[in-house]
Amino acid sequence: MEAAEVAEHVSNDRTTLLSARDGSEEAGRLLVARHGPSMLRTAWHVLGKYGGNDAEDVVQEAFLAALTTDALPSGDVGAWLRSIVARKALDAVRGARRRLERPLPEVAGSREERAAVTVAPASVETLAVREALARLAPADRAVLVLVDLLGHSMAEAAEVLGTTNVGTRLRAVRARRKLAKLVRDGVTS
Amino acid sequence: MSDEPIARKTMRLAEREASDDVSRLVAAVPELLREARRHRIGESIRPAAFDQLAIRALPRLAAVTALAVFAATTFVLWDRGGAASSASFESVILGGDGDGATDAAVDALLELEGYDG
Repeated sequence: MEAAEVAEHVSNDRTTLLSARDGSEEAGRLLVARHGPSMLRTAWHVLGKYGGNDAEDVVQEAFLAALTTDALPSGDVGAWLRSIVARKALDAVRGARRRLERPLPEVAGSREERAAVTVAPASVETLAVREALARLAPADRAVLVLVDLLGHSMAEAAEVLGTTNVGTRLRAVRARRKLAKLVRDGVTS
Repeated sequence: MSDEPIARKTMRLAEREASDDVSRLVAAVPELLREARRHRIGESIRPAAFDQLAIRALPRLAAVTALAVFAATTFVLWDRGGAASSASFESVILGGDGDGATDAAVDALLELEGYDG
């Protein structure tokens, strides 16, 4: 894409975001249709779940935050939305962990049965890499998503996650090393 | 291969067979917009309500804090000066076995709390 096209795209997105904040349903739908899929993928990675309603909930929360804040993204609106998703997903994982410290009432059906309902079937290879990712800490996954997948700088990722630049860099190096080892080992151990 | 491309490739593989259908999200847009509107209205009301609460509560909190500090200081000074005395803090408070300064502090505290018994 040419620089002028990129600038126009960013400007359009920003106008669409402002219209959605003003209550335009059409603008809201356009924004969701344009950026929803990448926001969902971001949520999956940080949550460590590739399907189900959790990612949709996180994306909805992120959209709500984007619609209610007065802040405007300085650059790419999509990247800004995905950053919000990463942070919300991390909050969701942490919140779920805190809730799990208290015993929950048992839901009908076995764990496998419930997983089969909410998560789409996948090949063995895909399941293996998902398992490898699931073995990382949620904050590690969030750093990898922001830096390696979405192309944020370490400083930007640190800002999104509320950590230091050095801490983010160390976390990224450690997470990559751990993930690479899990993938090389075939996630068997 | 270094670790960074492996991480990227792994994430791409992991998302490969999952559905990124956003039709339900698109359908939820009207409700999201309504919710956003409610949030904005709530936020514009909240500071005014908070201000009202702060105007009423802060002077009281400041007075209680000042009196508590005063009472604690009085107790410490009294305790240090009257090592020979066997009177406890409770006896000073409850029996008025002091120099009168503590009584005034307690009276003021009770008055502030609306205690008239």
